[in-house]
Amino acid sequence: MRIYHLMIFLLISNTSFASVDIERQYTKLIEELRCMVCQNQNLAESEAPLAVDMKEKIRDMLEAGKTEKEIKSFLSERYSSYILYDPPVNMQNILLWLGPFIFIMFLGYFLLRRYIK
Amino acid sequence: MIIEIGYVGHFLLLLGLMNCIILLSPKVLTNSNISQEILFSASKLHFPIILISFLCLITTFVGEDYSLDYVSKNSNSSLPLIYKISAAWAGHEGSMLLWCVVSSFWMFLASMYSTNLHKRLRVNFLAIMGILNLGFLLFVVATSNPFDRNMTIPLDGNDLNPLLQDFGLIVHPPMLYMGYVGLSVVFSFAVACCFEDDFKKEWAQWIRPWVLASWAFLTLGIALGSWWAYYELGWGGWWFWDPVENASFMPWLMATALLHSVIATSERGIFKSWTILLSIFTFSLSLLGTFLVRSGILISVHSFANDPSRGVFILFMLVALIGGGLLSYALNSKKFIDDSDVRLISREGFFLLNNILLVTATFTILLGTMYPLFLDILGLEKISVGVPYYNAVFVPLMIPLILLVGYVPILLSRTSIDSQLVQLFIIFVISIFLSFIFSVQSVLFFVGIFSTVWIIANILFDFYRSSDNSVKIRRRVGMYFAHFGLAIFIIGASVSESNKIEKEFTLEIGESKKVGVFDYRFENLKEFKSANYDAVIASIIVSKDDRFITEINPEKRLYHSSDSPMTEAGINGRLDRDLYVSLGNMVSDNKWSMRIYDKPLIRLIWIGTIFMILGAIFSIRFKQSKIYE
Repeated sequence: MRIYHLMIFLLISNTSFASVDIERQYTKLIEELRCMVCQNQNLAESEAPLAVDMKEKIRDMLEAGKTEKEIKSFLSERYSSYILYDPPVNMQNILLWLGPFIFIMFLGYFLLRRYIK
Repeated sequence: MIIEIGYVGHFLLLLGLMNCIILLSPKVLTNSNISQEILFSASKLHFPIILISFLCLITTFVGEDYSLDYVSKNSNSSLPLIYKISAAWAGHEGSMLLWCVVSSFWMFLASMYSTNLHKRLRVNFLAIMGILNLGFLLFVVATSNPFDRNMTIPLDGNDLNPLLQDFGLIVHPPMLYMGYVGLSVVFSFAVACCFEDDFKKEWAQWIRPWVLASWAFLTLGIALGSWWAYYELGWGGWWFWDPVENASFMPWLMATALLHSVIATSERGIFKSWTILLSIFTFSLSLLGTFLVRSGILISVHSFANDPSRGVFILFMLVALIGGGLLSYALNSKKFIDDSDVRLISREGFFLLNNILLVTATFTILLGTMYPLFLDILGLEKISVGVPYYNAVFVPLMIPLILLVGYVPILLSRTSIDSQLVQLFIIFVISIFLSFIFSVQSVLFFVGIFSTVWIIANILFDFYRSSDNSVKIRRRVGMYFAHFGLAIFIIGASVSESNKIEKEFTLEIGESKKVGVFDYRFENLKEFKSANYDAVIASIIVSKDDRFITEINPEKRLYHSSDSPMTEAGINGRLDRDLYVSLGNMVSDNKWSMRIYDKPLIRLIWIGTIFMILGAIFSIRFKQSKIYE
């Protein structure tokens, strides 16, 4: 059957983690990182070869004792912060993070002042 | 002669355009009685014209008329009949025609049920609906005509996108469109009211069922989409904060705000200009959503059909309609004077807080969706806005809202402080008890459980107290259903998220693995041939302490027309938990990678939305006898 020929043969080295803690960190991390070759999927969802490699790399780094922060900054240096679903708080993104706060103050002031006795 | 049908459909579209122009005669020619009658008839006639045109399109699909470009691109002869029919709205052109059908249907209803409005209001209202219909139809005819012909006629068509060959995606678009476009009735009415001297209570009462109906359809459409994503994409998620999902969620949040504010306007004649503004913005966000999805400006998992050149047309329409609506509002808003003031701690005060939180939540999603686009357009560093952002900004807005929802029954029944404290104590005890059952590990999870108990218990207390007052219960039953649905949704979302187990590993045939409390044995792998795809179906036997529980059959499909295999998850769904298996890649002959998810209470997410929809249906009360002068 053609289906077999088209399946990508992947070797997933070891599937058990050194500790439950590392597994938890790993699961959380791969959900917060973007698959760079997919349309809009995180690494956890993606089975693209690049994503599989990256997951492997993340697992290795976690087992080598790297923290979540170190891994994220390593990856965003390499692939730009486009890879982070959690956009960094910097000058460029300041309105993204402060916008909702400014908006609710403005709307709340406008509506409450207008309608509340 | 099946070939002719495409021409008939095309001709009817042009006839529809003419009809829309004739409809506007009281506005462009003379506003005489005759031209008004023409408008009333044309607004009804539009629906059969467009519907028959759409049926023609379906006929060309069923009759395999590949002389039409759209048919040849979205269907082929081996497709099962049901998908040949649904392929009619699976691609861009057809789904835009469906939009026009739905829009003409709402105009038909609006025309039928508006005889009790006074004439000037009715004429303006239907004329605005006519302009909207004209705009949508013009878009189809000018840029997205499904009846366009092929230069050379192919022997067979391509295929329907395999992801769309699914029941969920047959019903999802029509329901979603019923919601989106239903809001155009509300928009048109609000804009028409801008040209009156006042926005009367009775008018707010008149529009309320339309808001509720659109909201119910929108809820159903979104729920179906999320259900589809859950079982079809194979990732076990039900909401991804994908821009296309956001596009439907924004109008939903706004419509939720609107269906509250319109109650205050209809009962007490307050928030008049705010309700009008909200109506305009709610439909504007539906249009914006369509623009985002249809223009191809977003590239995401859902964008199957788009063409950037069309974006300009939609953008122009967007600016004209929203701009026109807002201008009408801005020029006239001064004359709407509210009948009375509001206290903060009252039902109306709560509506206001609800509106502040919901509109801010909408703004947050708009910002999260548009910000990366703006950065992209400005050529700055590209960013991704995803789950962590929305968890950080959206969730904190929802918590106070949910606490308010739970407080409503206490507020309405004017419960004394003493019994309020007793209630609160009981609710805390139940929440803590449930927290132990679900082994709560985070504050947010506890908040989720507390909110659910808080909403449901307060509703039950009120039912208990007013059990002798059936009038009161009947008045509140819709609201209680909807709020109960929200509570059910929250517990489903928080428990399934916090207590989920997700594992990914490789398994050989005959091998078994323990995930959570269950053992999963990879029993065998069968081959299966369907008319338009080949598949392998795995058999996974689930057992607990050597006791057979169930068999799950995840699939991997390869459609004849496509080179990438599709995953069909196998789900064993029960009320208390879903066991979810999806096949990954073949590692060696008998060895496959697979994902196994154990998702407790996840079904409550969709059961909750069913209650919300029922709540809206119970709240719809027509008072047709009245004349709204």
